[in-house]
Amino acid sequence: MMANILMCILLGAGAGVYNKEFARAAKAYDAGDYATAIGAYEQMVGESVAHEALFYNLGNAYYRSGRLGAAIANYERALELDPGFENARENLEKAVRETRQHLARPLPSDWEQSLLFWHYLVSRETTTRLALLFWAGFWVVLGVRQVRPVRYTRRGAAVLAVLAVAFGGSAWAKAHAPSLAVADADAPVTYGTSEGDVVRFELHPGDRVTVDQHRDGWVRVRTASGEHGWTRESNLVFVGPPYARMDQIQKPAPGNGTAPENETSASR
Amino acid sequence: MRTVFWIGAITAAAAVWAAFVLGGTTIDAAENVASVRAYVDDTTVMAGTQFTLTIEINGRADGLPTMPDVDGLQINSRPNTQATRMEFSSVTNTAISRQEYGYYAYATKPGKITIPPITIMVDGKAQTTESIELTVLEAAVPQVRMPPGPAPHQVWPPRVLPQMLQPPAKDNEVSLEEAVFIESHVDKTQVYQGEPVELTLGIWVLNTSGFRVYSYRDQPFEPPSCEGFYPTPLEEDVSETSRDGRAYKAVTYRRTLYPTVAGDLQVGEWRWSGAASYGLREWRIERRAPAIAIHVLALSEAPPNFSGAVGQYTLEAKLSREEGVQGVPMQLVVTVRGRGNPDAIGAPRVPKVEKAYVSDPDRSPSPGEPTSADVEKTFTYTITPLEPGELNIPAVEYCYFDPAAGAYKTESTQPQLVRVVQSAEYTGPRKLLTQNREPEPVGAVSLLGDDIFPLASAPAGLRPVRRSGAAVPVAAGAPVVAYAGLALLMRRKRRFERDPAYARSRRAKARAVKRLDAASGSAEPAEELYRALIGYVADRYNLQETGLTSQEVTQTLEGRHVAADVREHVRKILRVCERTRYGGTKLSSDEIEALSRGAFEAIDRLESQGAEVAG
Repeated sequence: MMANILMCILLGAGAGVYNKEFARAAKAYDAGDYATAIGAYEQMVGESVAHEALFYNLGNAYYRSGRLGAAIANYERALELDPGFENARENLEKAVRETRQHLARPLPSDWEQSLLFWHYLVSRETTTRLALLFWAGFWVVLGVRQVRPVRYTRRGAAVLAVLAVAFGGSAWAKAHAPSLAVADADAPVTYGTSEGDVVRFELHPGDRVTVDQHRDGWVRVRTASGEHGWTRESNLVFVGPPYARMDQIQKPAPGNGTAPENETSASR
Repeated sequence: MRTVFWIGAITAAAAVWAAFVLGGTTIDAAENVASVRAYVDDTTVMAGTQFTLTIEINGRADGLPTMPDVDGLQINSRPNTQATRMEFSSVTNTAISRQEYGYYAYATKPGKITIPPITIMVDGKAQTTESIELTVLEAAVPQVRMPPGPAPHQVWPPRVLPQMLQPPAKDNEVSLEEAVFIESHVDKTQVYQGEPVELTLGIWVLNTSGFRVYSYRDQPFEPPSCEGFYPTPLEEDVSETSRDGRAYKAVTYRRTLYPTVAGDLQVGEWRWSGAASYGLREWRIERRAPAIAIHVLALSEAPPNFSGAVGQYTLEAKLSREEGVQGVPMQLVVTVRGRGNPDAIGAPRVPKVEKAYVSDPDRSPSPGEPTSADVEKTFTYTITPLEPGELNIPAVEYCYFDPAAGAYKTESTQPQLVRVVQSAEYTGPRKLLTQNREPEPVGAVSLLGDDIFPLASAPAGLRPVRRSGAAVPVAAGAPVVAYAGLALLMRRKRRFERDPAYARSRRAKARAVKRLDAASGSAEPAEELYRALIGYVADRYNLQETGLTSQEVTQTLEGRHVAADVREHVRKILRVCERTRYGGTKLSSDEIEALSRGAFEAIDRLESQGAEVAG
C-alpha cells in the first residue's frame, strides 16, 4: 500500500517535471529556437515519454527547422497514438505536400479499409483496451448466468466473445503489422541488398514506406503504389515504438563526400 | 579292442608331453649358459660426437659393468639406457635374465682407439667381452668448449647428468657464450608518432655437429615489453647464416611497432632461457639483450583532411568501365599502397559526384593480422550513373603524414570524365506513383492559411510509459479467475439447497457453538450443554435430534469410525450433563465453564476427525 502511494507521489512529481520541460520547449519554439525545442522534446522521448501532443509538437519543431522526414515521422507517431488528432493530420498533409514526390502513405486496399474501418480508426492501445473490456464483459455475463438465468445472456455473451476476439485480433495485427518508416535522406532503393544493384527507385525525405523484412542492415520497403526494393536501414526512421530519438540517429556519411575514416588511428 | 586303443592313445600323449618338457628343459639349459657381449653401432665415429656402447649380458650379473679408462675416449660411468628381460622355466624352476646396458661415449681425439675387454661377473663367474677397435675421425666443424664442472641447473626434461671431464681446448673451439647468443635491434631509434619501427629478435645457435639448443617446454617465448607501441604479431623465421667465419642457425622473430604516444619510449630488455647439449653434457643457459631506447616525435598540427595514416603512401584510382550506362553500376577502385600501419588507413575521401549515386566503400578483405609495415588496401565505391551524358568523377585525395619529410602530404588521383549512354532497358530510377490519398494542395482551403497548426498545449500527467508485458495477460486472466471463483461458490450454494444432509453437516458447528455460548447464561446450563452437543452430532450426521440419547450418540460415533478417545470424551460430557439433569444437583460456575470447554473441545475434535458425513 505504502509502495503504491510512494509510486503515485513519484509519478506525480515526474509528471510535473515533464510538464515544465514541455513548457520550456514550447517557449523555445515560440522564440524561434527550434534546435532547443527539438532537444527538449527529444529528451522526453528518450526518457520513454510517449504522448500524441509531444510527438505533434516535435513534428512542428522539425518542420520549422526544415527536416521534413523527421517532422512527418513524428506526425505519424502522434496519429498512431491518437488517430483522431486532426491538427496532426492537417500538419502531416501539409508536410507531405512539401515533399518532393508527395508520396502517399502505404494503406491497405479500399475494401479492407471499408470492412475493417474500426481497426484503422482506433489506436493499438485503444484496441487492446476494448478487447480486454469485451473479454471481461463476456465473463461477467457468464457470471450473471451462473447467479440467475436472465434472458439474452447467452446471446450477449456470444456477441461479447466475438467482439473480444475481433478487437484482440486487431490489437495483435497492429502489433505485428509491417512497420511504417519515413525516409530521412535521399535513399536509393535497389533490387537486392548490395550497393552494386541497380537502383529501382528513389526515396526522398518524408516519403513513407512500410518495412516488411530486415537483413544485415538492409530493409525491404514497399511504397503506397506497391513498388518494393531494398535500402539501407539507416536511411529511414521508424514510426512505431520503441521510439528512437531522431536527433541522435547516426546517419552514415553518404558515398558522396565520404569523410575519411580511421578504423584504427595511428595512435592506437 | 577298444580298451587297447585307449591305452595306446594315452601312452602316445604321455610320450609327446614328456618329449616336449624334456626338450624345453634342454633348450633352457642351453640358453642358461652365461655370456656377455660389447658392441657399438658403428666402429667409425667423429671426434666429439656421441655414440652408444652397448653391453649385453645373458645371466645374472653381479652389479653393473665397470667401464674401462681409455685414452682419447670418454665413456659415461653409469648406463644411460637399460633393458632387462626375465624368463621363468617351470621345469627347471629357474629364472633366466637377459640385460642390455647402453653407455654414452665420445672420442676426444682422432685416431685408432681400442676399447679393451670388459670383465663382468655373471652367475658367479667372470665373463669377458671382446675388444672393440674404433676409428675416430677429425671433427670438421668447430667444437664447443663447455664450461667445466657440473651443470648449474637441472634441465627439463630431468636427466641424469654424467660427470664429465673438460675436453682439451683446441684452436677451433668456441665458448658457450659464442655458441649461443641472442640479439634485439630496431631499424631506427628516432621516429614520428605512428611511424613503423621494425623490431628484430634473434636467437643464434652455432651450427655444429652434436650441439643442440632447446627451449623449455614450460616457458613460452616471451618477447620484450613494448609499452607505448602498437605491436603487430611476431613473425618467425629460421635460417642458416655465418658470422665471424662460423656457421650459425638463427631463429629470427620480427614485428612492427607503431608508437602510440610521443616521448621517450623503450623496447624492454629481452630475456631468453633454454638448454644446450653437447656430447654427453647438458647446460641451462640464460641470455639477455639490453633494452633499446626510442625517441618518438609528435606530429605537427594536422590539416582537416588528414586521414590519420603515417608513412609513405601512393594512391591509385581505377574505373571498372570506360563508358558508363545509365542505371548500371560501375566500380571505382581506389588503392592505397605504401608503408605504415594498415589499421590506420581509412577510406579516402570521394567528393560529391553529380548525377550519380556513390556507395559507401567496400574494403578489400584483410589478409589476416598484419605483420609487416608494407601495406596495400583497396576501397571499392559503386557509382551508379542516373542520367545519360558526361559524368565527371573528381579527383580522390588522401592526406597522410610522411615521416621521412616530416610533413603532411596529400596524394590525389586524376579526375575522370566518363561518357554515360542511355540504357534502352533502364531509363533511370522509376518514378513513383502517388495514389492521391493525400488531399490535393490545389484549391485547398485552410482557415489558418498555408501555415501548419500551432503547438499543442501541455497534456495533463505527462509521464514515461512503462509498458509491462504482464499487464495484458493479467487483465485477460483476471475475469477468468473471478468467473471460476463465482462458479465454485454457486455450485456450493446449490448443493446447500439441494442436499439437506450436506447443509446440516456444514452448519453443525456454527449452530452448536451458538448454543454452547448461550448455555452458560441459561437457567439450566447442563441441559443446554447436553442439547447443544446432541444437536451437533445430530446435524453432523443428519440424525433426528429429538429423543437422541447419549448411548445412541456413542453408537453413532462408533458407527462413523470416530476415534475411541473422542467417543469417550463425548460420552463423558454427556454423562455428566445427564447426571446433573436427573440428579438435581446444581453445578458451580467453574464446573459449568469446565463442562463448556469440554464440549467445545469435543466439537473441535469431531470436526477434525473428518468423519464421514451422513447421507
